[in-house]
Amino acid sequence: MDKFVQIESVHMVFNTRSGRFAALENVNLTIHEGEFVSIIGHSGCGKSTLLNLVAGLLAPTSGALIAGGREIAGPGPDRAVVFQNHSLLPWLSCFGNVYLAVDRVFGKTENRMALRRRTNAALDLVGLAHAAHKYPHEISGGMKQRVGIARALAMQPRVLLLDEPLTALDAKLRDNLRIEIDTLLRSLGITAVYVTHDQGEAMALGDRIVVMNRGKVEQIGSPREIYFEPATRFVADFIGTMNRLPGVAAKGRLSLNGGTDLPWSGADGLVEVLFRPQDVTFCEPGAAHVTGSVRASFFLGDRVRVVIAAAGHDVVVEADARHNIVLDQVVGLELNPERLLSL
Amino acid sequence: MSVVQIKKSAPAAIVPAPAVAPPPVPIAIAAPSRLHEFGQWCQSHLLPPVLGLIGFIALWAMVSSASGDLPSPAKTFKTAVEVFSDPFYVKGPNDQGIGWNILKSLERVGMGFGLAALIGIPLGFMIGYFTFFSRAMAPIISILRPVSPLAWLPIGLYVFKQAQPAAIWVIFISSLWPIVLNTAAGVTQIPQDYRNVGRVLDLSPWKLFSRILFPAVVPYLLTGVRLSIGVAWLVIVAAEMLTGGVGLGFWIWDQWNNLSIQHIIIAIFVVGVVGLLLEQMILLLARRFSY
Repeated sequence: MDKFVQIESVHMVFNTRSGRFAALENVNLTIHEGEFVSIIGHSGCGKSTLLNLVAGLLAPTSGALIAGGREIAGPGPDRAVVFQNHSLLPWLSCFGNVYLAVDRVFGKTENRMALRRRTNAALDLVGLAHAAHKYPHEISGGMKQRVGIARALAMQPRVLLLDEPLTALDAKLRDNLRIEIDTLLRSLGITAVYVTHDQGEAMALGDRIVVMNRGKVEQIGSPREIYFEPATRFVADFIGTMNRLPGVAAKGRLSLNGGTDLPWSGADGLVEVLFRPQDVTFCEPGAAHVTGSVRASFFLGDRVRVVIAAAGHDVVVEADARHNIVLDQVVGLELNPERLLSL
Repeated sequence: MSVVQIKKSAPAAIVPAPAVAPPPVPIAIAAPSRLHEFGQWCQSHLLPPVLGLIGFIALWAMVSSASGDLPSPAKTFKTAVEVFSDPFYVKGPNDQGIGWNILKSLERVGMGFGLAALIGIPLGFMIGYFTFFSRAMAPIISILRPVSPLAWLPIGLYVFKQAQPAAIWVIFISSLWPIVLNTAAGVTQIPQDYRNVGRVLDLSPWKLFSRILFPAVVPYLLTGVRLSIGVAWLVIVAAEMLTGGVGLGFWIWDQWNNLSIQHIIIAIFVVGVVGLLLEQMILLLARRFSY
């Protein structure tokens, strides 16, 4: 795949009243044509700053930003942005808002009829052809966001930049819109950069995920790589839940708090082993790798999350919803030796 | 050996719901009649102002009968009927009907205010948009703004040597500031999001102004216009008192010289009503352009 956006050794420093703030430190990222990249991290980690740099709304303190072979000099419709709070112009109807973008990009080469057709097509793409005449104050938040997406797509950008587009919406709407965005962008084969703090969204939508922490890139990889092979402790903790238990390893066997030992391919000595809640199951306490007592359990509809106090640590286990969990019950835990990590 | 107590629980037996009493039959409520609704509206919206007006007139009547000098509401009303029965007479250059007086005052306000809008709106935009310019203008505006409109009159008379341009000058300089300051405030309040939309679209400066900046500023601009017209109308009456000619202000002063207090009271009402109408017109305009 062709490299479309190249971010090389980018640093971004803001001079604020309380001193210099390093928003981004040595960020390197290449985005290929047709790729969907999610950038995820806490608030203030620099993900929106990075997006604004690619959009050209900000200039980097140092480093190079290249899009389509040319250095990014400023904002433009080839890198259309979908803003977090839609920013629809309230004095224009939905049609007017999209038409403004279409007119800017195609107004010089196409006539009025063609521009109107493009506008209607863009609104149709997000399922809002029926609301074209309505004004932003007359439509819901989800609809406003969809108009924002239509406006950005109508510009036929080379890269679509989405800055936390679903953050301001409620959970159910977020789920629905997420599916719509996914199908829409995949069918268009468009290159996209999607910023979010919701890891569920990032994992579901991205071809590749960039995990950021305090201005630095922690890991770049596919959703599976990020989830099953986290490169750093931050990534392991940030994505999903990660259990940790101390143990002692010797001669290829790992012993956790005196339970049955299990095969271990890592180093010898004192280790801290990491594993996901799905990679541990309940078993008889006698034959277990580690035993503990039930501290809490949360029924989540399709599964149950149980917090077990074991060896002074909390272990979160995800089990079938039909398990009947009793508080303070003594249980045994069996770990999957192939899914253990050590960082 | 303790058996692990984790069992798959059996599905709960379905217990039949207890019998409930049949729902109560809804009582038919007739929709309120149009007459009834009108009656309610009269009670809440018409009655209080009318009562207030009656109370005011009653107070006036009491004060006038107690003082003996102040004309009573009844006498003033009779005089008002006379005044308004022939509003457009012309007996001389300085003695014309009330209709002409009102129109002449409005004409001066229109010119002064028009000039203030013509200069004030672009000035407001520049002050709001360019920080350097706003800092440059700030001391001048701060010093000139609190100056009483009538203090500008002598300068106007000295420079223009005639009453009419001097009055227009006073209106202009007094009604300039609300327009400038409100427009400037509007420009600074434009959300960065709208500006970002303009930047991503890479609009030309003219398109940026006409499609994004100007529509965003319109509500603030109209507030400035509304305040401005209020100031202009206030000032014209005072300015005309000092300059003379045809106009409501001069008419008031003339009636004072004739000791015709009833005419002055009538003029006060006229000034108030016209001022109210002007403001309502702008409010209607603002509502039409609001979003």
